[in-house]
Amino acid sequence: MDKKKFNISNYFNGKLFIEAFKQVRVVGLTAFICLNALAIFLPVLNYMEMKEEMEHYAYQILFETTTIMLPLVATIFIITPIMYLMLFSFLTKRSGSDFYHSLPVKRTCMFVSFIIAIISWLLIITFSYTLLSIASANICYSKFIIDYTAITNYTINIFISCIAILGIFSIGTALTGTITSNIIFSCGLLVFPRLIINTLTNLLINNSITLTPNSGHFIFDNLINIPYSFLTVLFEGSYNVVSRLVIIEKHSLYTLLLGIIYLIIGMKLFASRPSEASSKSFRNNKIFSVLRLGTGFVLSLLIITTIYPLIYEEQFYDCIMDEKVPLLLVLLAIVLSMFAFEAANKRSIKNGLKAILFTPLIILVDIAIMFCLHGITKNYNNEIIDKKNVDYVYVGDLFSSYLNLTDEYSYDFTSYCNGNIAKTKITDDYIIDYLLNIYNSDRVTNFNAPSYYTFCEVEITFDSTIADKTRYVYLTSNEIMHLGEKLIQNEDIINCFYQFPDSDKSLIACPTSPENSALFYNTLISELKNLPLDILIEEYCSYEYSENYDSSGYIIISTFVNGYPEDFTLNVTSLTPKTYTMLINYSNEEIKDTTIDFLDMTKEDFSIPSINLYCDIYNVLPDGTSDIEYSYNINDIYSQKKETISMVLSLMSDAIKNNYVFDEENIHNDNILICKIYYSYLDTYGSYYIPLSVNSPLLEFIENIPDSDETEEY
Amino acid sequence: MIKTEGLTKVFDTYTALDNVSCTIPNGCICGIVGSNGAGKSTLLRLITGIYKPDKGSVSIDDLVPFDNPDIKCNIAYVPDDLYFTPGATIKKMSTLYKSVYKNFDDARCKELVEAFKLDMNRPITTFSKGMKRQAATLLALSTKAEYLLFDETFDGFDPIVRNYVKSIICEDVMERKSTAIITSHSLRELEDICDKLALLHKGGLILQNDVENLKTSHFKAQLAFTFDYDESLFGDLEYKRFTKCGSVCSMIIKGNEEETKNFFNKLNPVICDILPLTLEEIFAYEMETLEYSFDISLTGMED
Repeated sequence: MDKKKFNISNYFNGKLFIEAFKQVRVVGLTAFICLNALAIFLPVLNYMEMKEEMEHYAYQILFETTTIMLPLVATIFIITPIMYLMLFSFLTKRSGSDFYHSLPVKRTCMFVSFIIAIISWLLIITFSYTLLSIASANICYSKFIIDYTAITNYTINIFISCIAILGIFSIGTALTGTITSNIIFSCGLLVFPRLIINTLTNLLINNSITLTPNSGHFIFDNLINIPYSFLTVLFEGSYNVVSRLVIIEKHSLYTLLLGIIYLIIGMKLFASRPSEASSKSFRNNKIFSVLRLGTGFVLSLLIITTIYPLIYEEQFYDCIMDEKVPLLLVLLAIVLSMFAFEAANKRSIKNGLKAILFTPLIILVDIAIMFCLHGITKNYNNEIIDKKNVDYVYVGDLFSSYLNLTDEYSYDFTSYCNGNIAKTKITDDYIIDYLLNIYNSDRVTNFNAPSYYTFCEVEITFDSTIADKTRYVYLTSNEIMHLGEKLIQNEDIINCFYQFPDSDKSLIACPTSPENSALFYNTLISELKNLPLDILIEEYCSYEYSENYDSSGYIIISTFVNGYPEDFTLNVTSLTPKTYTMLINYSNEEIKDTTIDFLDMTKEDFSIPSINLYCDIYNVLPDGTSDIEYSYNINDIYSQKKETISMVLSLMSDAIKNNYVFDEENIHNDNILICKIYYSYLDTYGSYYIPLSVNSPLLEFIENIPDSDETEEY
Repeated sequence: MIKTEGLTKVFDTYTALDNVSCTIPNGCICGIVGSNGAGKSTLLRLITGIYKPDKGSVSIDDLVPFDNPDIKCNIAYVPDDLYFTPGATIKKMSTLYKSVYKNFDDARCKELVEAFKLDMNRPITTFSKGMKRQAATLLALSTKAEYLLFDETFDGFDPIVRNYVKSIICEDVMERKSTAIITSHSLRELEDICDKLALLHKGGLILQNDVENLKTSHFKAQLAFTFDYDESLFGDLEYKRFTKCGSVCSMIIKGNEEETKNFFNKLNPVICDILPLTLEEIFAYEMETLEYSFDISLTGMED
């Protein structure tokens, strides 16, 4: 038996590829030049705007993937179909189609060579833009933080989407014969299947208690098809898909697979496409009928989405009557679409009227679908999950809810930690058992009970051998509290609080110089990692910081979580003495001269109204809490004698001039007190920390000021 | 050799070609004539492999041309409705041809461009209709393909260019033993160039024959006798269009000229003139023989 040998020339022709590459160069080059100009221009513009600030603060830029990639997404999604339609425009002209089909090239080879030519342009445009953006940002900013994984994933996802778009248009071109019909058909192919799936899935999820968007069939995921999801961004303004682009996951693989399948189908259809189909709207009437019925069916989804939720209403008939006008309008739209499509294509009103006869068929399908949906929903609502099939649970926002129920916990560090917790798989037997008991109980009754008005949803995942199946479990406040207390003992959850981002992958805004920020940050997190969890939660997750610990400043960390920028703040307190000392010394060094000048000026004339000055003298106890011993502010000083005030200010100035430097030890030294001076005068302000020994002149003087000096008139 | 058997092509409900069987041997120039809509272009597209037959088969050197580059690289096709890629010049088109035709001859292309006095770098869209056709013809001839298919190629050429194109096609066939198929709705256009002629009518092949054979086997006779006579005088002779005016009659005869002359001489005619026929007259005769309406066929055939 003869075996057919694989011959590359049957699938690719280099010269034809170059020819095709040249044919779309106008679009390709224009996009290439415009986008690369933007890649250079945007960071430069940003740099120019921030130049002044950058001189002062050595400004750092968090290179936000989604913002920088937006021009690329917009351009690439427009030029991909343009390039395709341009290169394959010969299929819409009889002469062109005949010409190309007369050439001694296999149709498959022609298709593949042409597609590769477009893909090459898209590759060049996409990756050059990404690389140039990074390079340009590198040149402009002294330091910038970029999530290379996110930006690479984003670029790959855009590229994958282009392949899917090419696939869709290849099918469209092969089945149609004019540019208009091609665009209509391709858009229909892009939108209709996913729109139908998503609408029905959403109906199912919205009308069932337990189903999640990932209910076990990833194909039902609303964002699984990237090009379609982008269309929803345009029409619905939902940006969920954008966050998906920074990761390579199921949606990338699905879109790639879909694109490849579409391209293979497109290639087969192109190879079998009769040349005489050119300039005819549709290759044959069956394809047109599918499109016409598809349009009618998509419109009829409005009927399902209106009626289906009403099934669960007690007064079904009354509800239907309330919706009769919209329903009649939808019905009219279906009838009109069926008529218009057929009448326009066949240019015959008679045929248009015949097409209306298909409307009852569509309505019957709608009714059948509603029955199916109802059955499926009922089935899911009564589902029982066996524990042996459960692999893990995601607690989502449960921990945040727990913290919220226990105290005013809503600080941004909580949000960061919660992000870590939400993606942690919890395999604890007790927690799984607890959740399964709730899930397998009479959830329909429970769900409608008043106790569920404040609920939190968690996901349980089971049967993950083939594909993950997830279900929501709803919890009452008591259940949340109970689980929260269990979770706080779970090692995986505890670890989530101690996972700090690396300094080289984060932007650290702190009161030290940018050069020292990494050292400062690393010192802080090494100290935080030694703190017990309850202290960490109490002091760093709480909206209101405890006043037990002296805070010398704070540090803002901007980092990427799942490719998205996220900020959180950490206070630098006496709980972390090393960092606390570093910050005080740095701060003192920076404002030493200004503070001395201020104090010297003020001691001569402190009657200037805008002057503000106060000081706290305290010591830090070994557990990090501070104990205020003396506290003075400017009003108290005004109540003192002029000489007393001058003496206090003079002693402060002397103490600063004596160059006392804090070290870690003297923070917790019983014999060293901290004198924190805060002052402001016009644009001058600052906080200066002076370590005072118990026998320092300033402390001795202050201690000996009588409680009520005679008030002087100034 | 190009061979079609029962070739049928249907567009929706319209049958463009119906059960056409013919053979075109290598090394000849074959003319296909027929009225508009006779199926000439469809036949060429089927031979070129652009269309797939709905019924029957077409083969070139025993290979099916549809989606078969091995045979298609030996076919150059100049369609009636020309197509050039957007922004094309002859130079750009020759690059495209070179990328797919292994034997594309650059030197030949340049030589023909000079002969036609065309500009290689000028956009073809700026060419006149005739110049576009010249460009397409010279590109086809430069492929050095064994089979050259020209669809209504002489339309739009001025008489000088027309004769020149005819001469280079003849040269090509003579020198390279290539095969050319030329379609036209004008018999006169083809009679001085073709070795073989085929007539298509309403999608069917009515006849095909060698031109020389047609010309030598068809002639007109004018006879006069001293006695009264009718058609029965000529017995088994194969003839048509017998007319008699007084003692003089005329008819178109298909057969051997010498044998027919001898036959007539035996009848002692007072006048016996044997006259040659134009191809048009021969076709008219053949069509009548095949019981097609002579008038209909001619009205369709524009001159």
